[in-house]
Amino acid sequence: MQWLFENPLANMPGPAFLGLFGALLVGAIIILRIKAANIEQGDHATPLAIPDQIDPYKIAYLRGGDTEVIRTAMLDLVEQGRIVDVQKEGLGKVLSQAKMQWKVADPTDTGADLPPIQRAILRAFAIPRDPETLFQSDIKSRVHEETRPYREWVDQEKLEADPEGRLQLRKLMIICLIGIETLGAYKLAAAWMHHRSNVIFLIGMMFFAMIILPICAQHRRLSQRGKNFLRHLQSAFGKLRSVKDARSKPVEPNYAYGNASLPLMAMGIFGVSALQGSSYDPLYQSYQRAASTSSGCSTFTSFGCGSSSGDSGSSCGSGSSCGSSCGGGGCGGCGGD
Amino acid sequence: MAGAVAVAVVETKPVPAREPLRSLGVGLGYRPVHRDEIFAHRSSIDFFEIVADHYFSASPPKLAELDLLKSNFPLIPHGLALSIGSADGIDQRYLQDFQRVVETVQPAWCSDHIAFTRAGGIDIGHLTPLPKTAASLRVIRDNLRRVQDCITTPLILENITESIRYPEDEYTDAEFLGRICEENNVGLLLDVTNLYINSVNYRFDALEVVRRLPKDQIVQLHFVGGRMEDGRWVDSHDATTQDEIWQLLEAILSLAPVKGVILERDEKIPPLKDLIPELERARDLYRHAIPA
Repeated sequence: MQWLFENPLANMPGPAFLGLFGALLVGAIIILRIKAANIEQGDHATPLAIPDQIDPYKIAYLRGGDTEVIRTAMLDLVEQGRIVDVQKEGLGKVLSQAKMQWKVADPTDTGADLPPIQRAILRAFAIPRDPETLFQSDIKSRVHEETRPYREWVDQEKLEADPEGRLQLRKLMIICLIGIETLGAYKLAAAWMHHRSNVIFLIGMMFFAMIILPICAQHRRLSQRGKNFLRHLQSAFGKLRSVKDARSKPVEPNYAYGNASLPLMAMGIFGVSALQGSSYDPLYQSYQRAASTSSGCSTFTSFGCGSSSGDSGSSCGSGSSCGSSCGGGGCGGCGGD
Repeated sequence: MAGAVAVAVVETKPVPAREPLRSLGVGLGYRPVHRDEIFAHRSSIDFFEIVADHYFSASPPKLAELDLLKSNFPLIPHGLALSIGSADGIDQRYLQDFQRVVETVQPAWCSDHIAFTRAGGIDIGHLTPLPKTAASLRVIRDNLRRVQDCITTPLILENITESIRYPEDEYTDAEFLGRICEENNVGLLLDVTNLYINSVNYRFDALEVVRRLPKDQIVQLHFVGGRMEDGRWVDSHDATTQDEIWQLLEAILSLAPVKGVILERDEKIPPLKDLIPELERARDLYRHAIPA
């Protein structure tokens, strides 16, 4: 067993080993980034044409998944006058200014005439509530069941990063992480066996690897084809970016919008930010206040959570195992002379 | 008499085989002011004609616009200043820019004008008519060879409105257009409005010209309304298409297997919805004459 800690690797001088460790880490980072870029890239040579009639719910799903579908449905109900701002009922002064609550306009309204998503949301507002609390309730799982056609469409049109590729990327990241950390742990063990204690750089690099590799394995939710499609939509319907006077104008019959109103189309394509300053500003304010008092993915931007580049659908909560497998004990020595 | 000459040309110059072009239907000359409206009326627009020059050295927003259009509609790049009639040849830089747009768009065909916009190295900034002479035909032939060496996409050429006519003219309109098409294996973009305006201003029968043209080489049509100014028709591109032009358009569609028709409104551009009736009327005529 002596060979285990008496071999060229175990006896490699510290700086040389750190060089080797760093080179392997950089290699792993490059491989993961290439793989992540590949799964986002997909087949984007054949762009998806903008359909003749646009379903705002479908586009909202593409933009931000179930969360955005819920927000769109809520606007739909507000437009129909079936959900109202509690402040309009005169109770708002009593309620905290930080919490803008909404409730059904007619307590006897069961939403029997509504499609399942809108019905579920209407019923959730039987009790006055902050819209963002919908996302922590069972409403989201009910909506998730109803958005299956949208998921199928997204899969069929390859608008999301390739699922098989995502799995492969995750596996690759785990393999790289285990390999790098095992190598570091082995060297620490060797250092401990040789009674050496100058291991601080190695420990630092091992921690760095645990953070950087999962980050490098992240990818955007949408494929390049999906991003292009959404970009084309947002470009084609640029005037909906803000619908300030939408309610005061009659909605013209329109081939692309079908039966959807301008605010609903704007919400589907651009998100709640399109409502800022419009007749629906209270709804926008509700989401903004909720966002300012919460964290994580529940932002109110038109691009879904956490994305800073303006691209849609970040990888919040996707595949990678951020922060996992850290810990365990015994950071010992590094080794090397 | 003119007809006899045109027939003789056809006999002495056999037309090389050309791949058939696909039919695109009825479309619109793209104008950025309509950008926010096009998807609300997309069922009325089969394809767009874009001004190629607007995408030379284009800014990122212009390139994004081109990408949006290309992803959703068949596009035909239409050049303004290839200057196919310039005796001093084709501007290489313009040709390269035009080629780049054509390669980006990958259209069924591309187009420019039977005119010169440059002479002695100076840009005139206007589509200027050519004298209808054998010398002009030679210049066009040489320039077209250079263009066709560079751009493999079929190029079609458009007849322009003639503000002047030359005393040296050796050919009639039909002979000149026919020779250009037959001798160079290029299609014709027949601007119905230009043909009508020339026929009124210079007193000839527009339909007779069409009858004497090689019908199979009339690939595309342009139409738009013009207006009278000081007793002459002006190609103002600023009005609803007049009945006389509709009648000529209908007659041409019944004579030639046209592949595409474009409404080309450039001035006093109304909202897109106001152009839809003209597009629909053209579509009815097109469908009636050229069943799918």
